[in-house]
Amino acid sequence: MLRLLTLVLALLVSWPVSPADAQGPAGLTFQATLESIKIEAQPQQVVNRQFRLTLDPNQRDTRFKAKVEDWWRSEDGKQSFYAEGGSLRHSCARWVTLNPVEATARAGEPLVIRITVTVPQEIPPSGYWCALTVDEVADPAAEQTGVGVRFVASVSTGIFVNVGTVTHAARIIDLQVGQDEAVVKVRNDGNGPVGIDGRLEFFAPGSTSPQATVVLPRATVLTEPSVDGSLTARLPPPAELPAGRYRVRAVLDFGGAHYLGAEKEVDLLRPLQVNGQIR
Amino acid sequence: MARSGDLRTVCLALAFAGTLTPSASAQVPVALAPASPAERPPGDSTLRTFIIDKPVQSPEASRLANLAASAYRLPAANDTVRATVGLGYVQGADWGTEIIAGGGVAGTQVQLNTLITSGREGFVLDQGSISIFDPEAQWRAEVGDIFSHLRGASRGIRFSLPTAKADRRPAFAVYGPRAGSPHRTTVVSYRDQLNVGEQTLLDAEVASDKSFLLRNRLSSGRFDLEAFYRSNRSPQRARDASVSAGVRLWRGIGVTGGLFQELGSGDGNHWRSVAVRFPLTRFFDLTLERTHAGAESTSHTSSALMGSLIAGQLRMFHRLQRGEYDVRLSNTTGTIERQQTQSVASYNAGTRVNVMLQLATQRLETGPVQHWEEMQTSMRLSSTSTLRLVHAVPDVRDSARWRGYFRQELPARFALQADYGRLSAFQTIPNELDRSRFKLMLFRTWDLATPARGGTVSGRVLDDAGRPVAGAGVRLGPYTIETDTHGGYSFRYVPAGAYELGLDRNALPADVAWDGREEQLVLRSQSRIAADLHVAPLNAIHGRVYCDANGNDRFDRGEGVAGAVLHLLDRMTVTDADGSYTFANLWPSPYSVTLDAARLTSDFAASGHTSLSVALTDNGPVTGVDFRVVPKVKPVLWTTAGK
Repeated sequence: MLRLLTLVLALLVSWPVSPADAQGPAGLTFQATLESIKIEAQPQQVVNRQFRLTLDPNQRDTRFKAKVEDWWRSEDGKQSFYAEGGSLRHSCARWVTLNPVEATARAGEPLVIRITVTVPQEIPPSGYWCALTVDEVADPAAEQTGVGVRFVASVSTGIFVNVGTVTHAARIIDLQVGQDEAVVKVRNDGNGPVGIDGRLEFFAPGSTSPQATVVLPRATVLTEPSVDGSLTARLPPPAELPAGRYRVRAVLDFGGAHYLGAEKEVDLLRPLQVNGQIR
Repeated sequence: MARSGDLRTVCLALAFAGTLTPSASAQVPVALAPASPAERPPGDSTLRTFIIDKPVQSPEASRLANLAASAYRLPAANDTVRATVGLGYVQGADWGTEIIAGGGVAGTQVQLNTLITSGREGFVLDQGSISIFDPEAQWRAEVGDIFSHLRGASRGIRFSLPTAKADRRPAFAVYGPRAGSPHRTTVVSYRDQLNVGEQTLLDAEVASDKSFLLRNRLSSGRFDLEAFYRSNRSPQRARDASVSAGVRLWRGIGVTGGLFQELGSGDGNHWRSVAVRFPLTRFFDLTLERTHAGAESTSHTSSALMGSLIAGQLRMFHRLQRGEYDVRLSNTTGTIERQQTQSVASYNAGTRVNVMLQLATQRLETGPVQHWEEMQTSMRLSSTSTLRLVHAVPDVRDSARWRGYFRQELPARFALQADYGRLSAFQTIPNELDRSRFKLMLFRTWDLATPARGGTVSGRVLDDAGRPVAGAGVRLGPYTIETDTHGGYSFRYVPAGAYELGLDRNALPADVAWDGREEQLVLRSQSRIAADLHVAPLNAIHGRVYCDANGNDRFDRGEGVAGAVLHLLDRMTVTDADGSYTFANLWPSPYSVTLDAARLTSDFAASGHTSLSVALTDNGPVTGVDFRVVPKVKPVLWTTAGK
């Protein structure tokens, strides 16, 4: 039930979150460090990290509950899935302990959650991951009055643990260009998650300099349940990249010793524009 | 249970960062692609893949980056000595080499300065000194050019060591003859300094040639007094005495004064002076001075008015002095009135440019007037270049007044330094060479690793059951380290001093707690201290609130009651959708968990006990602390129709 009520879940480093709150004139806003937690460890090693969340000064005291769960993503990168820790073979959720698990954040004061990752003694070298989720929960001491819809905040960040030697390897397996978006499909050939970003370049026939360059937003390609992932980007407006034949080149950085490249010829169709409006 | 489609995807996608920064993609080179688009045959719609080389971070760079990212701070395993060696050429004079070194060696502070010249007199050690100071034992050894209150600038060897109570500091010294000095005697001396309280210092030195010195210094809040008496037998016979004092009055007004008298042989040099300083504003102060100085054949008495102004980066100083000079020679005596003014203004334009202008005028009653104007400019031309110029103003063509200095830092820690002008006492130079000359020196600086010295503090972090705790942050004063997989830690090369040993609360594993009791340690360089630290393992209490619908006296799927409130001490929690609850991170102790029956939803009522006692040990969590509730049954009030 709580999950169904979760509306706003994400924020970047120093991005305030302002979900609507049916019970108050102003939404809950806070700052949280959301850089994912990346750990290089050996079996039996214990590593401590922190997660900090600070309510903005004008906020009411808010109760939060932290948990560790498994997380993965659909191949098209558009959906995420969450499950109880240990659902995936490469889950590190059961290695993680939190303190506190449940606490009240005071306005303007940081709520610090200690995260301890204890790597088991016998674990094969690989990349393991899970997600730390901090949910706003109702204050048990608060009186329930009336009937209404309550919007609560939730924030998640990834915990990635590389145990032993982890090989980062990836390759581009497809490049599709539609009317208004382009998709680069990537396969993870290594034994740990890889973060990938890069760009697309559109070359007109005979040209050696790109007519348009599109930045591909960063994406994570896991090793389970699927080793495939996608990077999707919207194309520039037709005025900047009109319909026609292009050689499209993708250049990706997956954190390895080299970049990945792929190119193909495409006939680009663009949506019709009337008075600046796409029809 | 999986869910999809929520906005956390955005968060996780952007939160994950690989081994490269996101901006790296913007710098991806494309020139190394196997073929340019123009070389492709038209109509090629198949996907061609390739790889592009990129610079790879060296293992050393990775190691340094990891080290920089580490939150731990350990005492330095090495001391460092910075050594600068210069080799120079002096126009019309000599070659010279200069060695300057300073830093730590095995816990001591070492300073080395030498200047060796090669000229008409062959190789000459023009100046040189080595000083070694042990900050822990407080002993000091000096060799070479050393300063003595008894003999002034001297050459010799001196060793001093404080007494156990640190109230006295005896010193033994051997002073040898200086190069070129006609006096060839070697003198042995004993010096002792006695601190009486914190305000008085008594200082005495006696030498084997019967020279001696008595000195006293008294500092008492607003009042300072220093006096000495010195009787020297060599290199020259001389006796002199001096007293100086200062007192700080109301609102920063201060009075200073002193007198000096050469006794016995010599020219009978003497002086007396008194000055009063008035800080009129925060930016401006005024000083009045009255001085009398003289010798056998001359004496002068003068009064001076000095003012200094500080306004931002502008500093100005002006001195106006007027006095009379008495000359007493064998066949004549006379008095000359002399008037002097001197002005200095400097302007510091940021950190790169400083300009100072000096103007001085001296007028004698007999007519001659002397003027002196000079401008000094210092500029940092770039982060590696410095230029200083000194010249007369307004006429800058007087080459005899030109002085220039330029220093250029070079790669590999070399530096080239050029000087032009009348050189300072670089070496003994005949008078005919005392003219503007050019000097060029090349310097090279090295940082040399030297052995470190310090104590060791080591031990283990254990929980109450004696199990080692890995990954716990241990703090020793400013130093921190993390325990290994066996719970062990070790701080080496810890400088002598007092430290607090404890744990870093922010770097403790989440499943242990520390009571905050720190241990006070006093370390010396030879100390080897073993100290274990203890934490309490934290555990959890798990349970459920359920409605036993099928009456089998245990929880079954679907029987959980969500939203039930439970209390443990001052903690409170609410059951999840499946009726489960957890009180996490609890110290080992007996606890009582209470179901808040008053906050159950209207569908349920407590059944049986609403409070359970739990004994939480350090062996693991306690589960099955369950509460059973029953559905509320509303009675039906029947009525009989027709009655």
